[in-house]
Amino acid sequence: MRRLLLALPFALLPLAIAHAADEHDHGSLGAHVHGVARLDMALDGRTLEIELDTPAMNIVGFEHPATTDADKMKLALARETLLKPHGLFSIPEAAGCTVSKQKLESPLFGHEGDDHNDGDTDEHEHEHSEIHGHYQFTCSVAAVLNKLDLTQLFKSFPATQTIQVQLVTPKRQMGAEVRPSNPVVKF
Amino acid sequence: MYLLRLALASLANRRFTAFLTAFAIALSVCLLLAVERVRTEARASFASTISGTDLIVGARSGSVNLLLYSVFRIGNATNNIRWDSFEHFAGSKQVKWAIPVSLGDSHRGYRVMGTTEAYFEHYQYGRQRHLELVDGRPFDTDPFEVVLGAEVAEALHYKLGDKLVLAHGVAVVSLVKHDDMPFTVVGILKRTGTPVDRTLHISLGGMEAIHIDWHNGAPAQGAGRITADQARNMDLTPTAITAFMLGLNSKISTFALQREINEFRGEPMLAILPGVALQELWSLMGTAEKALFVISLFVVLTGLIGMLTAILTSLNERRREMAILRSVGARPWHVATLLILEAFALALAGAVSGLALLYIGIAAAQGYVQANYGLYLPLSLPSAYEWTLLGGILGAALLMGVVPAWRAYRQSLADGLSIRL
Repeated sequence: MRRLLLALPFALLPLAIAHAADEHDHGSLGAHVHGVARLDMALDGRTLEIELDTPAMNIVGFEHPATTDADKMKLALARETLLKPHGLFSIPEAAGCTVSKQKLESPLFGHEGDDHNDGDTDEHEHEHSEIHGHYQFTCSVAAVLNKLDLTQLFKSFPATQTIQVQLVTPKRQMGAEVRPSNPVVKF
Repeated sequence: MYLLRLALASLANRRFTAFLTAFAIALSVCLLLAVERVRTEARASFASTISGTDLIVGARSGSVNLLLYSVFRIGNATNNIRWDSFEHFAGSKQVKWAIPVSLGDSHRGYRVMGTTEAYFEHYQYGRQRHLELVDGRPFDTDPFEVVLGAEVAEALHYKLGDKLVLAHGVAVVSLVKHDDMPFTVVGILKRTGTPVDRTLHISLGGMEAIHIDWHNGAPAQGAGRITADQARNMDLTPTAITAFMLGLNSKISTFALQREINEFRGEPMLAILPGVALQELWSLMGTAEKALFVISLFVVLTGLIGMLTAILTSLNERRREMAILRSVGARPWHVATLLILEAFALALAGAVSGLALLYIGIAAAQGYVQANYGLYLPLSLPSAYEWTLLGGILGAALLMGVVPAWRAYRQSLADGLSIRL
C-alpha cells in the first residue's frame, strides 16, 4: 500500500503536466467587475471606432444562458439597443457618421459568429459572461466630433455604474472614469 | 487719499508689529503660491515628457508603474521582456516605429538607457518636438559610444571625446563598475526639460557588451574577463529589454494592438497608452495635491487671523488716537475706513512680499530642483489663477478689516469725545 502511495505522484504527473499546458494555452483572463464597463474609442481621419466591453450583468442583469422567456426577451431588447450605436453613444448627426461595421459578441447570444465549440457551453454556466460590441463608423464631417456623451448608455443600462474610457484622437490620448453623474468626455 | 496716508502713518507708528503681521501673511502667501506653482509645473513637465508615442509596452505590472519607469526613470521594472517579443511586435504591420528601452545601469546617479538610433529619430516630447543634438552625433555601430542628456553633460562637465565608466545598478554610490569597458562621449543632446536631460544613452549593443562576461550578477574574474575589443567582435544582440515604445501607422489600430499585446501568449506583457496612464497618475496625485492646497489655504487663513488679532488688540490702546481724530473733525465712517485700509495695506504688503519671497525662492532653488527632481520652475509672471488667489486673499483681508472697523465705528459713536483717559 505504502509503495503504491509513493507511486501516486508519478501517476498524477501527466495530469499536472496537462494542467500546466492547459493554463499556458488559455493565456490571461481579463478583469470582470459588475457595474464597471470598458469603452475604447479611436478617431483618425474619417474613421471612428468604438469598442465596448461590459459584463452581461450590467446589460441584462444575468450572466447565464437565457432559458426563460423573460430572460430571452431581455436579451433581445438589449441586443436591439446595442445595435443602434448612434443613439447609444449620442453621435451628433452633423458628423455624418454611417456604420461601416458592427459586431456584437457574447456567449449569451449563442453561436452565430462565435467560434466556441459546443463542449464549452456547459462551462459557461458557471463563468462570468461578457458582452463585447465593436462598432466602426465612417464620418463625413469628423471635425464635429469633440465629445463622447454616454448619457444614453447609462440610461439604457442603469446597472452600469462606471465606464472606464480610453480615447485616442489624432491630437491626444485620454483616459477617464465616466459616471452617470458626469457622463460626457470632451476631447 | 488722506485717509490712506493716515492709515499708513498709523501703521508706521506701530512698525514692528505691523512688520511681523505682514511677514506672517507673506510667508503664508508664499507657501500657497509655491504649492500651486509646483503643482502646475509638475503637471506640465510630466505631460510634456512624452508625445507621439501610441503605446508603451513592458512586463506586466501596473500602467502607472510602467509609465514611471520607462519614461520618467522613476522606480524600477518588475521584470524584463524578451527580445523576440519586441521583434515580434516591432515587425507587426500596424507598427510604424519601435524604440526598445533597456535600463538598469547608472553613471554617478544618472540613469543609463540602452536603446537604438530609432530613439533619436522618433522619440518626441512637448508638442511633437524631436530630440536634437547640440554637439556631435548619435551613437553608431561601435558599442562603446554614449550620448549625454544636457543636464548630465553640464553637471559633470563632459565634452565630446571624454571617456566615462558606467556603474552597475542605479545606486548613487556604486561599488561595482564596468571599468573594463569605458564609453566615449559622441553626442550631447539639447536641453528638453524632461528626464531625457538626466539620461545617458548608449546602444543596446553597448548595454549587452558591458554585461557580456557577467555571471550570476557579478563580473567574471581573471581569464573569464572579456575585453572591450573582444566584445566588439561578439554578437551583441540582447536577449532581454526593459520596455519598448511603439508608434503606429493609424491611431485606429491602437486598441487592437493593445489587446493583442496584453493577450500575447509568449509572455505576460502590458501595453499602455501613455496619455491614459498619465491621467491615472493625476487622479492618484490629485488627492495629495488637494490636501496640500487645503493646508496652504489654512495657513493663509491663519496669517489673516493673526492680522485681525493684531488690529483688534491695538484698538483699545488706540482709543486716544481715534478720539483725537474725531476731535479734529473725522467722522465715524472715516475711522472705520481707516481701519479697513489698514487691514488692506497689511495684506497687500504681505502679498507683495510673499510674491517677492516666492521669486527669490524659485531663483535660489531652480538649479537644485532641476538637477535633483527634474522639475523646471520658470521665473514666469503669476498665472491668471495665481492672480485670482492673490485677489482672493486681499478680498478676505478687506472682509476681515470690517470687524475692527465696525467695532471702532461703534466705539467712536458711543464714546465720542467724552472718552475718559
